Amino acid sequence: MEVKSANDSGITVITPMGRVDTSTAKVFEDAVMAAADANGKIAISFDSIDYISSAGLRVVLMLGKKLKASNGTLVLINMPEKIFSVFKMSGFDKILKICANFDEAKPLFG
Amino acid sequence: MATSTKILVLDDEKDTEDLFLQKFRHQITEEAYEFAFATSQEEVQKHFEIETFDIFISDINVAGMDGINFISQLRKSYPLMRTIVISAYGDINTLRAVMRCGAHDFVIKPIDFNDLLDTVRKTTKIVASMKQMEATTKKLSAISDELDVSAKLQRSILPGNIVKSGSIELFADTIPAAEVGGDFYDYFWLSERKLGIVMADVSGKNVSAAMFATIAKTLIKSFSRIYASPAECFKNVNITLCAENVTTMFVTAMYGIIDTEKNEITYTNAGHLPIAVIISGQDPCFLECDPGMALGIFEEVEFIDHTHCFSPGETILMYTDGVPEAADPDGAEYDFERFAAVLAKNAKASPNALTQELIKSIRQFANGAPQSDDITTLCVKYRTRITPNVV
Repeated sequence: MEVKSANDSGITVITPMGRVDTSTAKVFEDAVMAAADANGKIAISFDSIDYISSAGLRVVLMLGKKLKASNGTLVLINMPEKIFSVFKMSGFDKILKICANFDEAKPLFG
Repeated sequence: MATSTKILVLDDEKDTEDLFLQKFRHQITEEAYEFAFATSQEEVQKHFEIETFDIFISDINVAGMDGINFISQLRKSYPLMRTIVISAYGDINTLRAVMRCGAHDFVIKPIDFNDLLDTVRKTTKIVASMKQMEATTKKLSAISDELDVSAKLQRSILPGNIVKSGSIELFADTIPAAEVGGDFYDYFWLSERKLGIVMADVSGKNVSAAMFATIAKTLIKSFSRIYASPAECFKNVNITLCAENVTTMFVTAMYGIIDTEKNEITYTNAGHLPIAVIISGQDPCFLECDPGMALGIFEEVEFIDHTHCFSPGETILMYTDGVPEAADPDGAEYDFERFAAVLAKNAKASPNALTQELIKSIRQFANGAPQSDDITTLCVKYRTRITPNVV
């Protein structure tokens, strides 16, 4: 698994690529946590991942908690139906901000 | 932190000590080497009573022929220590014998100090890599110990896997992945006519997941006696888990209470996969329910109770994502279609037989690909209206 990171309008856009499962979750975790240390405005784009397991969900939640504690913002974008159903199934769509794309997410960063 | 290499030198000539201290003075000042000296086997023993050494340099004449045994003995007691013998030209046979019994290198007398320096340097490198190897081995064995502990912990929290009582026949099973995950199932009689069933999956692996699973399982079972409604039970389990949870672990879970008098199951969901319903002659379906939210994340979650009425001979199945997400060598998933097909084909089978057929089908699909997640199932066949005779 690979994690890409880019800056757009002061927002760090993180794009995990491939499978986020138990064996790759640590790579994903290290990447998002480092990004959160540098910038409190983070968007994660899910358009390049095939699969996310509960270990991957946990990383997203940890990031959400961390940013909430530091008054930062996390928005999840570009989610394919299959990935969205994983978030919906576990109920996490209720506590995480999910937007169709980056343009829709932008206003949420204030 | 780099530690100095500890070297013990055995030689009966007092000059040797001065010579070593003089020649190695830079390394001693830089604390690369730390020397100790002995002039007899007895003194060597005394040194070893106090500390261990990385390198043992011994004059072959002091060690002597019985010194061969001495070196061999030391080697057995301190397998990580390297031995260098110092020998005169004439002693080639003794030297050969000493090398055979476990000395690692030698230096010829009169000592060429550049040669000695080289030999010690080379040996130090070997010692360092051996130490590293030992540390790695220890780490690996600690990890495998941990895996072992979590496997035991995971097994120990599961109840037996078969219940046959009146209208209910239950079979539950778990096949742990190579790395132990946090799946668990549970069932418990709440009264003579009510059976609680639980299926859950903790995010994460190994000891931490197994411990979280143990806590969650205990809470669900305890709260099930206090709160008659599954939703109320989960609400309170969730609040308790959130309060204690510093690791951001969570557990998805489904909890149902089968009422054998009313022929129904009341269930609630905490972010888990829906219950499958299998009725002979019909397509299997999955019980609609509010997803709720995985337990341990967010305190203010409301859960909702749903009720489903049993048809005679109906089978229900609770499972974890290890079932639909089992992958073949190309990474394709088993998926709900294959899952539903196997359930339909085995609608009349006993819970045990249905579970075995399901596992067989998953194994065939996986085609040797390593199992990346636990596969856990709990299957109940509901036969008639007869009240169970279990207390």
